[in-house]
Amino acid sequence: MTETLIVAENISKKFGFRKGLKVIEFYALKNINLEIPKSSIIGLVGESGSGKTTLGKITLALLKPTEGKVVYEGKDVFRMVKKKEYRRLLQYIPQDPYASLNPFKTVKQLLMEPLLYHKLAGSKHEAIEIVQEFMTNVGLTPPERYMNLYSPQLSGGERQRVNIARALIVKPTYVVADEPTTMLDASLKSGIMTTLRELVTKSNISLAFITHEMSLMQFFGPSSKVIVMYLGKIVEEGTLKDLLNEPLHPYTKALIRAMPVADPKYRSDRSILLKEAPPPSPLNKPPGCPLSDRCPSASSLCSKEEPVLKNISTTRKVACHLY
Amino acid sequence: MFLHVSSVYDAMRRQILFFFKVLWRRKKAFVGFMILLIVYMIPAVLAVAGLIPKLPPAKSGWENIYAPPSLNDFPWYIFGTDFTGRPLLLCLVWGTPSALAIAFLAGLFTIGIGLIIGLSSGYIGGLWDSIASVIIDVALCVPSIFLALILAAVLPTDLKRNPLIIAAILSITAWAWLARSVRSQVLSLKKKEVILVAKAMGFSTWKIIFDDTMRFLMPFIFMSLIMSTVSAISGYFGIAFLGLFPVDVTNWSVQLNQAMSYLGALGLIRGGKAQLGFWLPTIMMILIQVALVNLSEIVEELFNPVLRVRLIGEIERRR
Amino acid sequence: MREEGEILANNVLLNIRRIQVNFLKVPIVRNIDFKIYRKETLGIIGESGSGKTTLARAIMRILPEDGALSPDSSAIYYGLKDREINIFNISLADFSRLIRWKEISMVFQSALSSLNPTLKVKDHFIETAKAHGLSDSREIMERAWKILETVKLDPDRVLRMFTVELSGGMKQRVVIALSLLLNPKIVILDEPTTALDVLTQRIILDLLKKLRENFELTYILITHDIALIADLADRVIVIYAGKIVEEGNVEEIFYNPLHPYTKLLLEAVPKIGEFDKLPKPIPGASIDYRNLPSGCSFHPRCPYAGKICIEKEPFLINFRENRRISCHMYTSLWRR
Repeated sequence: MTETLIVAENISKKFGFRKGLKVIEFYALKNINLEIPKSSIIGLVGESGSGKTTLGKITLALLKPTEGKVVYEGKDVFRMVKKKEYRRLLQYIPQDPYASLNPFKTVKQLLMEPLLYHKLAGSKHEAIEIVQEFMTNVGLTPPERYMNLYSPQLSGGERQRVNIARALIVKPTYVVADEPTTMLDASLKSGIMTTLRELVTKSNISLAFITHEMSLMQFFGPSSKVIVMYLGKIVEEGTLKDLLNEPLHPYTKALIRAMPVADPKYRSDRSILLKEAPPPSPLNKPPGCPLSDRCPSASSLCSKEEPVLKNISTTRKVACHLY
Repeated sequence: MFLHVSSVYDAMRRQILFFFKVLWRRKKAFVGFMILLIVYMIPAVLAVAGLIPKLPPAKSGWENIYAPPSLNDFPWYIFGTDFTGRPLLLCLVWGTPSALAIAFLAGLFTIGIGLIIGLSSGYIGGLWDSIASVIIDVALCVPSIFLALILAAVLPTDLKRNPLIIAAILSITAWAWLARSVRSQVLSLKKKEVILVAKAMGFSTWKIIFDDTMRFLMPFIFMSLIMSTVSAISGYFGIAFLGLFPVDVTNWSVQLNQAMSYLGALGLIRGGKAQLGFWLPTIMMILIQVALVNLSEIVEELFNPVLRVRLIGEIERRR
Repeated sequence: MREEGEILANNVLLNIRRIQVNFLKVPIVRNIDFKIYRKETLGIIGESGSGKTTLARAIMRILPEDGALSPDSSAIYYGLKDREINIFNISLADFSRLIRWKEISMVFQSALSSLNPTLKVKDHFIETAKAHGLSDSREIMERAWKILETVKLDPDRVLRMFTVELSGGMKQRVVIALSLLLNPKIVILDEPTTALDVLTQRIILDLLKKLRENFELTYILITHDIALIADLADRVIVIYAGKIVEEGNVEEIFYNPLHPYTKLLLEAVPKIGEFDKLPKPIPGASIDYRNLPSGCSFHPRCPYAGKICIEKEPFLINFRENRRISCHMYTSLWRR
């Protein structure tokens, strides 16, 4: 039984925004429990509105939950990160490579700053060596070519590599990668995923990989834990192998069926498994189970009572009235 | 904190080299810079270093006041004399150091106060933001010209001789507009993912404000610096014209004032002895503003890395 | 799947020859020829920066100011009833009047940036129609209504909304509806499903298939996503560094890829369930148009590159009807 690194207990997050004179509030997350073991990779899979990014940021103490708490090795995470020695242990790889790097700094500055700030290098000379090593690890070779470039001079893929290098250079123990390949070309995705996986497993870092593409989880192996989310709730949990071979929740089934396949053989029988309905949004969740308006197996119970996340086996959980 | 200092030094060195490269390619800014250098900065330096003859004593007598240009004692009499019989050019040159000093000091005060208040209230928010916003609003509503005039009229002369005080009077409400502008920019910058990542990195609030956030504002800050300097120049000479600052013959406004009363209403049109005494100071006052504005055209290119990169690309291609 | 027989040689709808587009003297699209047949879906695949979007813009004649189409380029359109017409030779005004949006329309990449956030949906329809010669508001609204229903949007609700109020999937549908407003024959789809969630992508794809059938459309599908090509395209053109490197029908490209780039593209995508064969990234860096490699532009990244690849640029050879390859390995000059 591996040790747990981070436990998120009973997390709920409410957002409010103003529309005219009214303030509209909605829950992005409701009563979520999540455990992240040490040195492991878990996937948070869901579409926009599922709350996966919000959950990721909360586990990093970058966002305060409305209810619940996050514990890191027994310590309350929000209090812990007030000290910068602890802040650097929890890092974030953002989604948009075009909006996350300060365009007024060179790659060298972007990577040296965190090193020197956290005193992770003995001298400036040593810092430059570490920066070059990371740039090579992350695929920005030769490092000299990229050192003095500003982020607007880099392509999307190169920028994401800088983001990865930056998150890992401070030697964190937990990293949340928020859809790092979504804004990149299909042919670049595998490069970034491979790099990320290699670096994370080599340094025994725990990684929470947020995505809407289940197919990307393949890079992390069949036994990686996957958590499927829909409109602020966890609907299914299990290893990737289990989910691909035997998906339980109707939403998981729909996601897997909708995975893009690069093979013309499969083109005809892949119409979506969910019913027609207005697009899902946390603002107008149906009563009972959040999927009840689109679920092909929905019964009258589903619109009345919300299903609870139950353990099916030691590695599997589902929140569905069918089970 | 010391990390910023050394990286700032590096950055400054690169900036200065780059600055000259850009100047060479943007003719307007180049001309502006040259004017600034030749007409104002070099004479100011010479004056302060004592390499210019001191002003001779005043002379009276009709033939000495606004005497026509002559080649005596070259080059000081090429514009003739002023209303005190002293060489006009020499008087004007003696006025350059104080004009430049006061103008830039006023610009710096404006930017300094505006930045500190704007950055802090925008980023920190909360109670400080509420207090600062009230201060900014009050400063914006106060009619600045009147306030400056009143202060200039009321303060004791000894205080007023000090260029720092003069600069302070000129910038007393000018900072408010900048603070408001900076504050609103910081409010939207705060939401950028760049800043979220900086927080995740553990950077202190100070660093995030003065390093990460401020970088986005650099072109704006420098542009504002130049513009505040320009308006401080007008303000200074305006108040001096009204005689509210303790000034002497070296002040261009004083020269202007005297020339105007000598010429009378129609003197400019009909012609008269004090023509040069009118035009020279006017040109000096206007030309520095024009030069500064032209120079400000390249500010965006100097500080905005995207444009900068494009410019470097052009430079490389030409080679 | 379309039968081979349906695509006849004399069923050409658009014949593109020698397209060359330069940006500030740097060639981006370098001498491309291809044909588009009636009612087919032609997929054009290439990475970002390969020139595929520029190609689409050249055909729609909406290149930005610094983009220059070479005067040799021609695009003969056979869709008009009475004549064939070179759409590059006619004046821009005639092109707008006769061809653009009426015969050939486009669904732009990232619906987010092609819709005006200050306008309501109905204004988009009105403006688009007016820009192409249709001025009767009532007629425009009738058409808009019908088309929105076809794309499964509630016209009553959606027409009144501002585009920012729409979700990603809804915006994409609006953009698709706009492209169909004047009943074109050819629709150019530029990355129609990027930035959409997986389920929404599937919904939009199914919609595109249905529209293709109902309106007998010809699609030019431009994308970097090879799975999209597998799902929608009949024939495929692979573009690298502004040139065609391979062309074939969809089975040929997926099951018998010839060009090394095509092979690497296919290997770079995850295959479901095959955990031991993880996708391999394509080695090397992306293209820098100002410093193109000598000879074949792909040689620095090509695992099969030989001496001749560095020296000479390969020709585009026509093996069979609509099967082309541009690679030294398939010529008699090839020596390892």
